[in-house]
Amino acid sequence: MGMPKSRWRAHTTSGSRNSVRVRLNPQGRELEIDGVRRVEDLLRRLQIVPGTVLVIRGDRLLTEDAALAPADDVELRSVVSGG
Amino acid sequence: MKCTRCREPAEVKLRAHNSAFCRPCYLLWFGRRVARAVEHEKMFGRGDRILVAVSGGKDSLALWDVLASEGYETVGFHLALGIGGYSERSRRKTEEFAAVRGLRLSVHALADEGLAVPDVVGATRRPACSACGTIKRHYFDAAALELGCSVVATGHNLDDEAARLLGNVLHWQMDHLARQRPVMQPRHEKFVRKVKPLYLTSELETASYAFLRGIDYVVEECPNAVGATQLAYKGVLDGLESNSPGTKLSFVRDFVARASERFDAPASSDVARSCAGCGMPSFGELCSFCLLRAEVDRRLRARDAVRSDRHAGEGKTPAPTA
Repeated sequence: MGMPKSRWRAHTTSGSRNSVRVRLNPQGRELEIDGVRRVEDLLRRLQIVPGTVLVIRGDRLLTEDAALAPADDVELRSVVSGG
Repeated sequence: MKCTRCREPAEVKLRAHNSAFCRPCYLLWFGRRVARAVEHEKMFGRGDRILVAVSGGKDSLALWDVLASEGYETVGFHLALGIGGYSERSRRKTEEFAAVRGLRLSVHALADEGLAVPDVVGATRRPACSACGTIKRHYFDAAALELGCSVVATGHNLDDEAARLLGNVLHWQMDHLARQRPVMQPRHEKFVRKVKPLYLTSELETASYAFLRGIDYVVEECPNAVGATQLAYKGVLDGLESNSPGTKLSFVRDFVARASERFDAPASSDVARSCAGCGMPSFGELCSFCLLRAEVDRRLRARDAVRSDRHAGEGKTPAPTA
């Protein structure tokens, strides 16, 4: 994906999770990002160029304007292939 | 965001096409887009048996899925490259894909001939991608011949073609520009037509299609792709695309439509003889693949001779070569 290290901080409250859990594929990294309300905010926070990843929540794809809820689990799956 | 076509909630937004689609409309759009490319470039017809080169990645499996769904006669061909766990997973996903859909798949393992890509690289010190390309071209041609296929289809997508075109232009690779086409006609009776039905379809589009069709493809990158120049070119193009959607599509489509005919294939590209090693078409006595295989054999024999001398000096018996 070619992303720089993301600026993130773990921010959890006992008994609840206010941040969005993000899994980066194929890197295999997992992050928790707070303060993002839409997919486009998440991509901007992680400095990911739109169109270079699928944004997956459950069994659905999300467009950039889709809202993200606290405690959402999303996968950012790179679409870029090298060979 | 609503689907451009039916106004249901959209799952795929395509800036380059100023459109968004819900799942069923997207799958319809994608299939039609591929069909249009096939028809416009006269890639193949209903009477053709198509060898689909399948790696286990999103592009080749999406291509095979589309062609099979459209009712074309296809044979999948998977070349197991022998690159450790990556190749094992690629092969498994390809086999599972074919089994679930009842599609015919032929698999050839390079390791069975002592030509696993890591072994070839280790013996010859050639760049992995260069060796891999030579090997793939040979086996795709040979498989098409053996399986009675009239065309080989690969999953090269718009991003691949744009990156390749950018590299060819940056370095003014005139011969390569002459050969960068979505359809390459055979230059020998043992060659078949080679086509790229996804050449105007972006990686985002094929990945979206594969996901929405429930295709379990290999997401991880080939370990040899790390630092590849193609990836750098793709990064540049993604940046341009982000600022000006449709840039990649215009770059490739208009090159094919307006500029490619200005680059003529050199006369020396006419293939006239058969390789003394494998019988496939060749420029010289041995084809590129047989030259590579001969080099691998020669270097392995030389290495074994050195080991044998060393062990003889130490009073040991050398281990047999695999």
